[in-house]
Amino acid sequence: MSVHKDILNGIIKENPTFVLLLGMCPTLAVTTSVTNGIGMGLSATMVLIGSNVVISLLRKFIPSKIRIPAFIVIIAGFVTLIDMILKAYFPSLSKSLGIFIPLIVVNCIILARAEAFASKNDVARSAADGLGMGLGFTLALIVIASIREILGNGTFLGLKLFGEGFQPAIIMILAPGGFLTLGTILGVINWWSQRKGRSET
Amino acid sequence: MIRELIAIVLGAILIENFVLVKFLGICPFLGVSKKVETAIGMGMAVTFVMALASMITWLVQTFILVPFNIEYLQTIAFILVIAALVQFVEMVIQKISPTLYQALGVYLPLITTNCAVLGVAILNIQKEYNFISSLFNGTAAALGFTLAIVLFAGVRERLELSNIPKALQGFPIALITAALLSIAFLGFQGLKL
Amino acid sequence: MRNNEIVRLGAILFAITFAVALMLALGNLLTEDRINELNIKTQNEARQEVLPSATEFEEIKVKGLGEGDYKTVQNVYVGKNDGNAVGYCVGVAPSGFGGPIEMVVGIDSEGKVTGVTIVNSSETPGLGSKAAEPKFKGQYKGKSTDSPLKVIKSGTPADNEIVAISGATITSNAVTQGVNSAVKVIKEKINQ
Repeated sequence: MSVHKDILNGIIKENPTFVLLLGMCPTLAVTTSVTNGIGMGLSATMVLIGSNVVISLLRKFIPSKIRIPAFIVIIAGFVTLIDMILKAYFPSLSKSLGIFIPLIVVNCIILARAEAFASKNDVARSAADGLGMGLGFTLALIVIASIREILGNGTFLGLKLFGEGFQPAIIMILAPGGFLTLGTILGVINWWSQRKGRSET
Repeated sequence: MIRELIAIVLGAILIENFVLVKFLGICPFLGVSKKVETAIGMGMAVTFVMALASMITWLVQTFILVPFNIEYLQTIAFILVIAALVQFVEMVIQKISPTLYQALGVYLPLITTNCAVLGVAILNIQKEYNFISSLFNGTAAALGFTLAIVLFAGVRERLELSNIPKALQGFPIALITAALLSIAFLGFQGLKL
Repeated sequence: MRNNEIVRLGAILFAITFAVALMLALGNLLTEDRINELNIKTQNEARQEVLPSATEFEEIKVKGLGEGDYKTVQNVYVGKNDGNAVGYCVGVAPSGFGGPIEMVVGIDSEGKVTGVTIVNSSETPGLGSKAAEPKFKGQYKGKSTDSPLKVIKSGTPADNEIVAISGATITSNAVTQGVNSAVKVIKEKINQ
């Protein structure tokens, strides 16, 4: 399998959010605005690429008995590094993502990719997998955040979309809106793939 | 003091429910909530680990990270503490009560990557709680998690028997159910403590 | 034999942890100064914003901050113009919905609130985060400090009332409490 297939795989076929259903906490928590969604998605992508590369490099050196704690330490290292960079160069983004930056450590996508992919494949493919999964995650966050921000706040990337008369449905950026949006999107995906499956047979 | 603790406990269970309001611990909430029994098991295991983790991470922060000025190692230190703790709890339960181990065993390894545990440890420090408040906050947040997951499992058991449009079966309807539960919990926001 | 194995595994895990910690120490060294500078800069800008009549600020040491009634108060600065005190800036951090809300409250020498600004908070974006918008925080400007401010959900506010952000009552209450504690400190500790 070639490297660009690995990238595409993460974005569409095995999209971590919509298909694998991993990393649900940040998916629901930070998608109250598109800016946050992009910020979280790209931070997680950086961590994914970094940890995938390092783990792939060290895969022959780490004994399998202690692989999980070793992976977690490496991931936590990258997360802390990203946290520092965000604090120093993107303070407002760092503030609005808050506790969900350190919580990237326990984002199941990252540990799952380390375990399922990086510990078994070479560096180039692991980096590609990290990039693909990261972009797939970012894309999913953008889709969910767009729906929630437009309906719940009447804005997109902070720009007002409607006139003064528009009364946004605040519920969409509150907690229930997160569950509702993701549930509906998954329902639509199911409906679509079932329909496609039926027309093919 | 007691008033403050009651406020922390009620706040963590109802007003700032970890799962339904703060979105922490969603993975096990969706993953192990098909049956009420397993939901209770998961809830108990999480409560146990979160109470212990709240105490130990507080001690680590106060007596190691702050005195040595290495607060930037917080994330790493906490996740290591939690991973070790989960492993330790697993061994102890296995030795002391094999029946309990059989009931909880499968869920224990999952707890390491439950963001509610790391989340509560970091929040305790961020909110500048003292040792006792941290312990109460950790336990209460875990009870809130248990409450949410058990209620949710109760609803999902009934969903199994109902006639749901094909496209919505499985996760979509579960998430929409969670949205309704979450709306119910919004009602607690008005509580004045 | 088994002990050797444990020692070997432990050593490898330790080596990884040590390498990661070293890398982070380096990262911290590179970003620490910038983060601190940034914090000081935002604090200064916040003080300038809430007390525009002052040109320089000087911290005053006040006893009892962080305890009892002043639990959320972090610091008090006096704002001066040509050497004359024109008012005070109080840094407070009341607990909001997502943790402490770091804010600065400006109070002039006549006891009127000159402005409020949020320096740092993790309130819900689109809801609690609206506390930082002029529409909400502008309400505090010019309020008299004779009686504590109260939050109302809707309607026309009286002199000592603030209209809450819809959907974010906890945040609105927290910010208002922050202003009240700032006023209290100035009244009881400075202008005795």
